[in-house]
Amino acid sequence: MYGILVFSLLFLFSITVIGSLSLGEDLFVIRSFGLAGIYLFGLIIALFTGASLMYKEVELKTIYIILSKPVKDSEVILGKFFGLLASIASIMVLMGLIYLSVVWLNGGGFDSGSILAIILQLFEFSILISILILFSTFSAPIASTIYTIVIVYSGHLLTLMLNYAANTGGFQKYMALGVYYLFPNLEKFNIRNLVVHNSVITQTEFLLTAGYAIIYTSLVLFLAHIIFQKKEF
Amino acid sequence: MRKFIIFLIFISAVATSQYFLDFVRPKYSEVPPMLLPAQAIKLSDLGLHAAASGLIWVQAIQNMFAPGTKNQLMLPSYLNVVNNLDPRFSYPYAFGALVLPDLKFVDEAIKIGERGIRDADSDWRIPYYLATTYHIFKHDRVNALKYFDIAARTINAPDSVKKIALNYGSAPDIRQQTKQIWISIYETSEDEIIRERAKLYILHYEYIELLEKAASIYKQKLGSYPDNLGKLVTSRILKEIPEDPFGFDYTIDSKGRVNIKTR
Repeated sequence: MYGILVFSLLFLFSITVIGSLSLGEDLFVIRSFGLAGIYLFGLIIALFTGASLMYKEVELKTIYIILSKPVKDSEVILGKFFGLLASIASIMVLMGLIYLSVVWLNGGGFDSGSILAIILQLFEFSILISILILFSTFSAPIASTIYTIVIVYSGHLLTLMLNYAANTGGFQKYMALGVYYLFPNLEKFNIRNLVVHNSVITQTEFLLTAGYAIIYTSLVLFLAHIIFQKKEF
Repeated sequence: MRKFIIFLIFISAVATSQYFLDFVRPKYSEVPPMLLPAQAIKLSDLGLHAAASGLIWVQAIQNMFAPGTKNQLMLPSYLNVVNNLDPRFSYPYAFGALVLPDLKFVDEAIKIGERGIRDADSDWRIPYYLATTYHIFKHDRVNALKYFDIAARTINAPDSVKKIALNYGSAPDIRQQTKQIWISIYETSEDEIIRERAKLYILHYEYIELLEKAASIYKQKLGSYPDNLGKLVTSRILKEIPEDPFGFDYTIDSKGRVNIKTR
C-alpha cells in the first residue's frame, strides 16, 4: 500500500510536466489528470486492501480472538468498514493536499471545486469498501477484487442501461430498469468532469448524492453482517 | 563500497547498451498512431472523460508536431475524439479553427469551430480564429465579420480583439487588415506554435509591403513598374529579394501589386 501511495504522490508531482506538453492548456490537464490520479490510486489502494480484510481474519483464525471478546458481529463489520474508510480518507487527504498545492503553484489558485469532487469520491469509496467487505466475508481476495472491479465498471456505465430500457419494452425493459436502480450508480459521484470546467453541483444534488451513498453502504453492510452471522467458526 | 561500484558498472552498462541499440537499430517507417473512437474510450475510462480528453490532446500535440512526422493529416480526427470525450474543452476547437486550414482542412476547421461555439466553455479564441479562417481561406467577409463580433462580445476578450471587430470592413486595404489580425493573434496567444505562425504571416505581409514600396521608387526613377522583382535588385533599390517565410515566390503585376505566385 505504501508503495502505491508513494507512486501516486510522485504521479501528482509529475502532472506539471504532462501539463507543460499541452500547448497552453496546462491547468486543464493538471486538474483533470490530478483528479483522475487521486481517483484511480485511491481505487487501487481500496481494492487491494479491502479484498482481504475479512478473509485474512478467517484464514489466519485471528477472528476467534476478536469474537472471544465481548464484541458483536455487527461491530466487527462496522469496525472493519470504518477502519478502512479512515485509512483511505487519510490517503486521499494527503493526495488532495499535494494536488491543491500543484494547482496553486501552476497559477490555478485555491481549487475549492476539486475538494467537493474528492469528498464525493470518498462517498463512492464508502460504497466500494462495503461491497469489498461483503465479498470478503465469503470469497477469496482475488475473487472479491474481480467482482468489485466488475461492479466499478458497471457502476460507471449504468446510464447505458437506462438508455437500453428507454429503447426496449416488456420484460427486458423492467430487467434493465431493475439493474439500473439496484446496482450502485457510481457516476452520481463523478463531478470531476464538471469541476475541471469550474462548474459545481447544487447543494441539494450534493446532499442527495451523500444520502444515496449512506443508504447504499448501510444496505451492503447489513447484507455483509447477515452472511458473517451465518458463518460457522 | 564494492556493491556500489558493481551497481554503478551495471547502470553504465545499461545506459551504454541502450545508446548503442538506438544507434544500431535501423529506422523503421513511421506507423500511424492508433486512435480509438471516443465511444470506446468512454466505455472504459471509469467516467474520467476530461482526463481521457486531456490525454488524447497531449498525444495529438506530440504526434502532430514531432519533427519529420507525417501524421498531421490525422489532426481533425484527433480533435474530434478530444471534443467528443469532453465537449466543453474549448482550446482544441480554437486550435482546429486556426491550424486546420493550413493543412488544407478548411471545411473541417469551420465545422469544428462552429461546434466549439455551440458546445464549449465560453472562449473568445474559437470565434476569433474561425473569423480569421473565413476571412483568409474562404474570403467570406460576412461570416468573418459575424465571428469577429461574437469574439469581441465574449467575456475576457482582449481589447485588441474588440478593436479588430470594430475596424473590420472599414479599412480600405484588405491586406493591411489581415496583417492587423495576425498581429493581434501574435499579441494575444500564449502558444508558441500559434505565435510562430502569426509571426510568419506578419513577416509575409511586411515583405509584400516592402516590395511594393520598392516598386513605387522604381517607378519614380524609371517611369514604370518593373516586370519582374529581380529588377529591384539590379536597379540597386533593394540588396536582395526577401525570401517568403512560407517558402513561396513573389510576383509583381503591371500595377505594382506584389503577391504570391500562384503557378
